[in-house]
Amino acid sequence: MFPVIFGRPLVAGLALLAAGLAIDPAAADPSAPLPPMCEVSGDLIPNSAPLPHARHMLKTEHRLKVVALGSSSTLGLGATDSQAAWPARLQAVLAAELPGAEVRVVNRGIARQSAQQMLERLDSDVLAEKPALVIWESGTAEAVRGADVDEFVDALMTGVDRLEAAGIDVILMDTQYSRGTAEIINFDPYVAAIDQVAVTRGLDRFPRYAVMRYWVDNDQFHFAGEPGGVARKMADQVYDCLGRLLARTILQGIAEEQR
Amino acid sequence: MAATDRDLRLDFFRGLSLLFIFLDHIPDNVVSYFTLSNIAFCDAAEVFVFISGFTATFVFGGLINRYGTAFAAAQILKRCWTLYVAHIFLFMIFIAQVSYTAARFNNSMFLDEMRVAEFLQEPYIAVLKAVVLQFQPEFMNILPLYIVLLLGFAAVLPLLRAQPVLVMAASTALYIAAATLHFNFRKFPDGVWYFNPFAWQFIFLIGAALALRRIGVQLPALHRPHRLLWLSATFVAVTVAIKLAMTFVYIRTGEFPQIVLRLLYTIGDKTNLEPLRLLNFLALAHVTVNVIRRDHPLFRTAWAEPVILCGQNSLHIFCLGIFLSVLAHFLLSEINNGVAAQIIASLSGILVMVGTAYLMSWAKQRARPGGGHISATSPPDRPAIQGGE
Repeated sequence: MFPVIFGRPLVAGLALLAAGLAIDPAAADPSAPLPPMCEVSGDLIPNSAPLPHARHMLKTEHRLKVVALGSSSTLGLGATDSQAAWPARLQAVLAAELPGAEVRVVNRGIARQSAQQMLERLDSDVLAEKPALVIWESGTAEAVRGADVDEFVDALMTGVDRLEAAGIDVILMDTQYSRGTAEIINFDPYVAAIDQVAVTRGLDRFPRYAVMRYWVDNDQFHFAGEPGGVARKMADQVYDCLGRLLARTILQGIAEEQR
Repeated sequence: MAATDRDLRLDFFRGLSLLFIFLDHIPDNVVSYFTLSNIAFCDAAEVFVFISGFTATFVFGGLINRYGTAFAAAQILKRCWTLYVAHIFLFMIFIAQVSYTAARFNNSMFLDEMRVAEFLQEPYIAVLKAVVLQFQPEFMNILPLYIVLLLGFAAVLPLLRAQPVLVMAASTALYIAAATLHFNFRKFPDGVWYFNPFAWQFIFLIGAALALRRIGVQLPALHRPHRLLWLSATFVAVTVAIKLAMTFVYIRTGEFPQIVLRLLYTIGDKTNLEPLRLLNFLALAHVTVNVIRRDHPLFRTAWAEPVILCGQNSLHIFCLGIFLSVLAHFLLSEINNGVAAQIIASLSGILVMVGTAYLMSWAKQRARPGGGHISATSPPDRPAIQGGE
């Protein structure tokens, strides 16, 4: 019998440690409280970088257009239907938080795609939509294949450059987490690479890997061995939580004055 | 224990690097905060490859002196074969792990991720790629490097003995080319070898060349820059300070300072053993061999003995360590990944490695002439070969 005695998981421990040391970011968020299962520790999601283009579109045109670019976990595989995927959930939450604005989140997820493949459809799938903000989810295909991290970083950098040149804000999102997949796939270098790109470009990032890991470590979600129906309902809940947390990040980014 | 004229520093630091490699291979392990990679821009991999090069010359060069080139080459190839078998063994462990996870873990949210398990449908591809060293999931990437380096060494050692300056010039040129142009072997299904053999051969051969004197090869007098030791010590002190500061900043803010990150990504890449890593290791090694002499009392202490024994049985302890780190990762994520569990898993792994090293040394002593168990087919100096893995 192992459990209980061994205390809190490392992530929670470090989070507590960090929370004690760091200055609490102003919780200026007006949004509704999160459902308990979506909760994460306060400092897990980094402070939002400003989103000037989203802010501008919202101010001048009273609308917000977002494109979600990614792979199967953006498409929403495993959920009940496409309305349960996180882009649709994000749209619903943002619409509720931004009354009077027309909010649209376009889902451009295609299963099993690498960042390079997404880059190749950037013109047709993303730029043609003329969004103010792109949430770019990537890293899974690369981690699964053990692809070269430098090539991955190059693809991301190129994409970010093109999006920024087109006057679009970018939020980078990393991979999903489950204990089962983390045992056989090494996600760390790719999660770190996304972090590196975001930090060097001053971009917003959404640390989905760390968030989902926090949920698993704190028994908010389990991703193993459920029958199909239960697993689908859980996928719906996970995508809903992700949509809510993303909405917070975006609202903070919009509220942030340009530095 | 080994003969008294043996340089125990080699065994000790190789043993230490094996323990570090084990600890570093367990993801999210608090104990790994105490390994070399946290105070230097290089890690146990450099130490291991360098000492492997050194002992390769010491042992196989000695065999050339006594029994000729062909015999030494045959012994090197024999060692390659053992490493290759170990690689295939680790592949079996990988398959077992993936099969277990894929059979149990069935959540369509993770559809993309479960492509890792796809080779179970077409196993012949992965098996073929593993056989030719191209299939290298995380923990299967250092053995292919070691195999290729040793294979090349069978041909390079006689040349190194005869023309050390020429060989080292060629090695330097190859390293510079590989570190700049990034040519490397491809791996399956994507990407390149994690340890680029064209770059890493350099540190192996530096070790190998430094051991030439010990097999009686006269080296041209090296011109040492003035105050090399002080330069090295300063370099090491600065890197230790930077590393500790980085860790501290990371704990406080959750991020590494941008400027350091950029520097690291420019000149500190591990795959191609970029200059920062190489220089840091060489400086560290230079300081270490000058501060810690071969007869240092440290090596006669009770706690150094297990480490030395691990180093003396490095081949088996290395493979065992990698296997144990996979097992520890698995158990930590399946049962409990708390800090206490991480410490227990780390200590248990070290205990198993040390216990195995004691057992192997005991068995070797029993098998020595006079122990009465030596087999007739063994070469006459078998203990020396075993000592120099």
